Amino acid sequence: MPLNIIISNTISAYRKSGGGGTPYCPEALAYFAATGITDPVRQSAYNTLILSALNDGWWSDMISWNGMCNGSAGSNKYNIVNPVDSDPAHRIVFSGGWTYGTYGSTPNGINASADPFVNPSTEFANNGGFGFFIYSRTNLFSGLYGSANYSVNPGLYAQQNWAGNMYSGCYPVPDNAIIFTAANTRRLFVHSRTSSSHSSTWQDGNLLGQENTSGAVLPNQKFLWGARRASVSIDQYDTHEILMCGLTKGLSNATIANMTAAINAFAVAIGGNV
Amino acid sequence: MTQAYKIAADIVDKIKTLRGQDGSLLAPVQDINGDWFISIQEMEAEEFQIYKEKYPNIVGTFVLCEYVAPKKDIII
Repeated sequence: MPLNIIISNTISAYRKSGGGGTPYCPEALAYFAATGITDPVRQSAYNTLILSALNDGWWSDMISWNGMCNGSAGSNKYNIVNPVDSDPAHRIVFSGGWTYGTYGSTPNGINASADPFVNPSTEFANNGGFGFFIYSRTNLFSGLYGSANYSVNPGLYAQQNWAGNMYSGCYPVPDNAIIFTAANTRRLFVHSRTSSSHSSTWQDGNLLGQENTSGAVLPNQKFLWGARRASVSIDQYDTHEILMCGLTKGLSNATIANMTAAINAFAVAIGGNV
Repeated sequence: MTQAYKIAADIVDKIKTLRGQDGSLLAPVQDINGDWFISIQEMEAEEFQIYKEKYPNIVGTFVLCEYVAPKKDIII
């Protein structure tokens, strides 16, 4: 057997066994230590999810990845791929009124937002790959899951639901965004731009739309979940309950399929699937 | 009807500096008339209770009343 396959199999086996006599992988243990998650059902669900990301190769695509279903701001704020309580590690800082449930967190639509300390212009290559995902537990065709410099060029928004259509991607519309419709606003939405010429948006593993986009420079302003930021001020707040969300590099179709299956399995495991 | 806690304009800057025990921030927001509010969720959040004791003459005086958000156009 070639050496690289032996090493790969050894690493995989170590992760699956947890190594060191524990039932969980080191990455999961670090997340549990930071968040204080002790429930064995949730620990197992997170461990399985993290193993999927590691073994299917999308762990390194995650820039900011948050479980929003841990029941408090203090446990939701940690970035799964780097659970350190600091801005450079992309912890989330919540602002305003949130309700933190065991299946998701809900912004109040008045003044709530969440800052993962991701500036698209410095985190991603202009005209290159970027992406985001959100597992919504709310069916509501209004609001906006998140944005950075909404409706101003350059801008970026994570799915504006408006007047029967949904919009996702870089501003301006329609050159750099995907316009699509969906049966509802629940479950996992993924948007990915893999190059200056291709973007796609998916719901629950099904392709909702894709565009031969023209790229676009990314905004030099921090992304916020749960709010619409137009230039420097926030002018719209959202009310969708979020089970999980993240900002990513550009994701391949295969990665989106793997990630969707893993996150859906996680939602089922904790009883939060809709 | 949406309710929120009305706060005096001269303490808005102070309120914005307060950080909860989980690292969260208060986010005063203006209503349609320009008055300042914080939400019920913020007032009830466990991580901010320390400030009710620390600043009883400020936080303890907030009044719950109707909040009407400023109208904003949806621009696509």
